Amino acid sequence: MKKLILRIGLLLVIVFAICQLILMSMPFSWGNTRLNTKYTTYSENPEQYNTLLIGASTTYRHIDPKQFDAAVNAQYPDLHIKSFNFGIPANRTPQSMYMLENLLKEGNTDHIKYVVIDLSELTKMGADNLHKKEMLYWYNWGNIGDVMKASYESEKGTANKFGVPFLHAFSFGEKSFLVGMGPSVIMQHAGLNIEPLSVGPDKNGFYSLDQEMHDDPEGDLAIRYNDLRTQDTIDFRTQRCQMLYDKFKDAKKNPNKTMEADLLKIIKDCEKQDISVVIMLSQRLGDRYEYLIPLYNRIPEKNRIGFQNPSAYPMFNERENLFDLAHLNSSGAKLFTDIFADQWIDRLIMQGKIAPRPVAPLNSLQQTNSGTGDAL
Amino acid sequence: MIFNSLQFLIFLPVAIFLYFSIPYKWRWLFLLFSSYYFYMSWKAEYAFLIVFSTTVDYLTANAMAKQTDKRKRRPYMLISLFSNLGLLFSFKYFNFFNDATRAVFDSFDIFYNVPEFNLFLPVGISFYTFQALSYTIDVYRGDVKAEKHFGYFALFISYWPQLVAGPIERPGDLQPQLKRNHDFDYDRVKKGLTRILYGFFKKVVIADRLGIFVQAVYGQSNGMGGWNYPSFEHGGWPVVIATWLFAIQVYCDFSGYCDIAIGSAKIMGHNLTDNFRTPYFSKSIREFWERWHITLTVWVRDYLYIPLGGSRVSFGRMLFNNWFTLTVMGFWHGANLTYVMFGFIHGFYIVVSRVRDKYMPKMVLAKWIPNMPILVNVLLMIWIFNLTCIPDIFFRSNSISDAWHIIGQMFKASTMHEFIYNSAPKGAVPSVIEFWISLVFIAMLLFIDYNLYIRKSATIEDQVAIRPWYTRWSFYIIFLVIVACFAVTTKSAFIYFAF
Repeated sequence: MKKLILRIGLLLVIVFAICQLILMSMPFSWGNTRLNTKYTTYSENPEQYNTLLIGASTTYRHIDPKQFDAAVNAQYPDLHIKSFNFGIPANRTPQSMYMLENLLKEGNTDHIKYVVIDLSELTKMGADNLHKKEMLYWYNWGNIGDVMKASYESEKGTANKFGVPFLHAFSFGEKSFLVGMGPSVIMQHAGLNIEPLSVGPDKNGFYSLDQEMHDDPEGDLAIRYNDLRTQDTIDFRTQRCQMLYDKFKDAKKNPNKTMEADLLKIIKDCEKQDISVVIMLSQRLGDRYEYLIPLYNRIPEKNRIGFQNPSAYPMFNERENLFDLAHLNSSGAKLFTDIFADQWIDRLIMQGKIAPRPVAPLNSLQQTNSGTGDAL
Repeated sequence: MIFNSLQFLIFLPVAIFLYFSIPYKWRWLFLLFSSYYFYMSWKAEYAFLIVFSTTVDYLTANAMAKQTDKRKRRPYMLISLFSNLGLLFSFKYFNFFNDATRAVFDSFDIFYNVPEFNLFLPVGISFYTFQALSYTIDVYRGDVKAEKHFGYFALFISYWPQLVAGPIERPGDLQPQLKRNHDFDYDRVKKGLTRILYGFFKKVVIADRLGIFVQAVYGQSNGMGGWNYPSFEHGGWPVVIATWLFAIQVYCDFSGYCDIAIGSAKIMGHNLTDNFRTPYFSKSIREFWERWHITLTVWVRDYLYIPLGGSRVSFGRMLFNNWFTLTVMGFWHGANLTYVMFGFIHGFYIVVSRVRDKYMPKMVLAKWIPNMPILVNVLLMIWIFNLTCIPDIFFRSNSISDAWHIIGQMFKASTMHEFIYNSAPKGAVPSVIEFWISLVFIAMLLFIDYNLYIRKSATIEDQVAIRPWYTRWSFYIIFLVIVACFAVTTKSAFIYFAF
């Protein structure tokens, strides 16, 4: 039996090595077609960008780089802000860290001066998500340990505390052996792993949900738009979000020390490279507020922007600004981008990157911001 | 648990390690325990059906063993027959006959109110009831001795590698093997693993991938008794190609399952019967049935065809026996007229070939194409493959009317673009990529199966084992990489589990 085990071991090592060679031939973004499209567009001329907006759909659908750049440059023309939106649906913070790590690694990164990361929970790895390349591509030897540790810390109940880290480890194994991903590898090398529309009409990574629904009227977005955007559901969602916010707004005890340490390390490492990092917490459906708000509260004030309090930002809960329960439409995104730009300038001022405003702020809300997402 | 699941990938090495680790005298108990665990991982309560079938057959067989007069053995045999077929009827065919009876009563305006059985079909019931029946019939006939040890007998009925989809083993073949002590044998284990690897290649790389295209034309059961019809109705070549692909899919699915079952058993020292011998290289329908689902064909031949008189009767009666046997075989697959039609058409083919053999023995293709035996053989193989595809249309369709509709669609205008480019669901790998990948792997399958075919019933593991080390290792590495990278990872049960 020893001989058999040794030979099977040797075979697996060889297969593993072949899969690793194949993986090395792939760009970091291969596992997500939207990200891959964005990265391909960005890579055509990366030097023109100095600001990276990284996160989930709350970044992708809410921050228009064109408007953001204009808003910031109107106040601080010397910054020459040129941003690119790297938001992708269902992206989670560990993925954002993986993206940032790779974007800063690729070639000359001196042009990158500012980074915004949208805070979200660790990917909830359900058994249904096993095998999906979108859930697997971002694992590497550097982050798998932290991901397992972070999920152990943040999950509740013994079964989940051990089950979820196991699923991550198993998925990492799947990625290492490229399980079921041969067709995706072929797609990537054949140049078919691209969705041209997903970079948006201005090719800066922003694609509003209304625009996407207009471009693809038969898609799932129409169902979301028609079925979920009723006043009752909006009210219910807002109240729930408020209740959870009130419950956890002052929570300091962080349930996830690993994630906190990783975020603080990113801020520190980027500071060393003269890159400003701001962590943004968007308004969410209230899910995982018990996890996200304490984490957010432990980030230095100069490095965070919070939109988690519904009563501080009532306009984001108005029907005319919403596309569905979790996302703004293009008019909501316009409002959001302006408010975000103002608050982001505040953080740069706090970080000492720029002098205090020479002109009045664009939006009065910026004056009322406390850094915890609460109106004063 | 299904073979293409994470549970099985954990179960297999653990079960094999424990099997060789425990003393010989307890292995039967371990195998029995693991077999019930294997089965109960689907729906634990259905294990009672196996226990029931096992107990009845054990008691009746031992009661028969005490009788020397065959007539006195008959009542016990009938008890076994009725309980096994009753089980099969209740769980598999009751609703079918109930609906048919209701339709008849309705036509005469007679009130009929027997409710339906809303029960899940227990996995593999057709396989283990047939295996149990073969045991009691063999004991009745005096071909095998009744098993005295209840544990060994229970193991024979429930042995996990072949429990849910065969091969349907005969007591004379499997029972003695289960009692024998099998030490760990490196070469045998290696062969078993090679067979398993090839089975996975057929199932998860080819069969599940082809399912994408077949589903796009034929639709798919929604798992709740309904049927999801495709949103786009194909016509012409796409329908023909989807039917060809289904024939390959069902072959890869079922023979892939059997390869994994045979390989798993081989590791433990048990040789199961080969269920498939490159059936699509057959040059006649009769040869096809000698190569396709062999254990069922042999079962039906021994327990139905021969008792009906087989071929030792008048020519007309023999034709009826052939046709009837194949129709019953079709019905064995499921309680749907589509399966009856599947068997009926195959029976019709056999009848036609028998008639031709008797009345027109000189009407052979070689006569028209002399001196070109290879071309003749290839044409015959293509002809037989296409003939078998026609009953497959009924086999795959939801209903007889759907099958006729599909056949009608074959003669309509075709658009290959929709079929090749848009068969995969939104968000999945584009179907054009899957299509070309499928063709490459079908070519690989064809190459390997052809090599097995020309070596007269050779098995993949034997053929690999006799090659030099570098060929063997290349085979292992290439197939491991292919199975890992090109496995379709959405959970997809084996088609024959439903029977």
